[in-house]
Amino acid sequence: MSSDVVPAVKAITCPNCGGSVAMRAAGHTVSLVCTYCGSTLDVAQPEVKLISAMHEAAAELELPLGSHGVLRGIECEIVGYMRRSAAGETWEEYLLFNPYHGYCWLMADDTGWTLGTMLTTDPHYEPDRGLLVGNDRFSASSTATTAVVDYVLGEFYWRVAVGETVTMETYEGRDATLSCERQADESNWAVITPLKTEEVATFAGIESSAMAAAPDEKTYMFGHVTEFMVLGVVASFLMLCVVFVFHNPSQPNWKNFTVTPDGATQTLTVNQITLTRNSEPVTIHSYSDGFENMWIDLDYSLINRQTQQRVDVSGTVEHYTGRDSDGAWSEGSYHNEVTVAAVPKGTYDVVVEAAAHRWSAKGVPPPSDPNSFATSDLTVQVAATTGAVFWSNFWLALTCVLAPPLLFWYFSRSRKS
Amino acid sequence: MRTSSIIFGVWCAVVLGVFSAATYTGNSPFADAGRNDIHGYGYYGPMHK
Repeated sequence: MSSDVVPAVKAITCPNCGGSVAMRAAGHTVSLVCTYCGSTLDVAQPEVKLISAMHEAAAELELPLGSHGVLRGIECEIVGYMRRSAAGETWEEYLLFNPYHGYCWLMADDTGWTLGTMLTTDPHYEPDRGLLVGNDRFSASSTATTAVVDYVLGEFYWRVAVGETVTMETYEGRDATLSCERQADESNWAVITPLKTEEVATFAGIESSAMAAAPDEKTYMFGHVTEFMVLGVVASFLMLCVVFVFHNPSQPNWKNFTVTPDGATQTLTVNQITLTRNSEPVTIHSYSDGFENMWIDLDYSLINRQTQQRVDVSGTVEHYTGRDSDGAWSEGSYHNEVTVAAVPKGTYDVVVEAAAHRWSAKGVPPPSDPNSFATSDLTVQVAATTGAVFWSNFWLALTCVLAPPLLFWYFSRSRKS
Repeated sequence: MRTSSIIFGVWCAVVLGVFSAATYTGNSPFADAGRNDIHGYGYYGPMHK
């Protein structure tokens, strides 16, 4: 400690436990929390009074009370410690004292360390520029939240107690954050600037690698996100395994039949399928070719042989071609696949009603080659198989397990920047 | 492991469990048995035009 700092340490005897507690900012300190039993003492008067008696072992702090050193060019000492929370977030605040420069705050949360320098005058407000501290501009970044004191230790310049609440507002500037804490009619403003872990370690005289309790940017960014990503990737891999384990399709048994374009609807039983599990998906494949600018409507019914319950399914095989100012185009597919979810156990007849239609529409140029319509009957192949992969389920589940780490990474980056 | 990671691990396990059950029973909130393929548009013919 440099010679220009006059230590003002005074020993106080705790009236609750009898412990000898050092008061480091005598003359400035109003309340003191016993480091042995946690009782809050009123030290504003010569007679030390007990404000609230506690019998709680003092928490082991990462930066012990009494640690002193030089921080940003000012020699100061840690005299108090508070743990506070607001809106589900918890952070730590160390009260630093220098007899000539007064108090400032060393704070630690999930994003790292910051230094809070208290303002002696309120910021100036200009409607078009926002809040001004000197030439630095600040604009509101959050709505007011209520912060609660969860734990307190050491000495303070006001009568602090666990459960004390203040209303907090923050304002973002280019290089710093402006914080305002309101309690009753009193407002306390502080400018908060980021600190490197090494600066805090140098100040407290400890190895920066030993400071694990207040994660710096690296731990915050890669510690949480890495754990989340590993869990998300493992869950995704297991989901892929589940898909391949449970997807056990039966061999398709193709059946052929013919339909006449713009002719009568054909109805026939094309297949039989047996489902052995209580609930299984079914896939119905259909295929036809040798036509253009036509569609084949396929209405399937799965009819349970025992109960006569039916499940109706629709499919369409269609293919169109043409030519316009952009050149030739084609659309559709000769193959169609329809999946039916959760079909109950049983043996089912697969009945299909098929009808082929030529396409024509008003205002739409006719096909470039009118002969492209099929002139003869079309052969349609249909097969029903058990099993289906619902990739929509997979993508939904994948989003559920990967979105949290990605959002966490994104917001932590935004917060840091 | 942090509490948040444990909570996220439990969340992943729940998602995996629901996904496995849905895959085993062949359930999907998106499977409509082809009802939306063409009839959803209310129009037969190329969508190109």
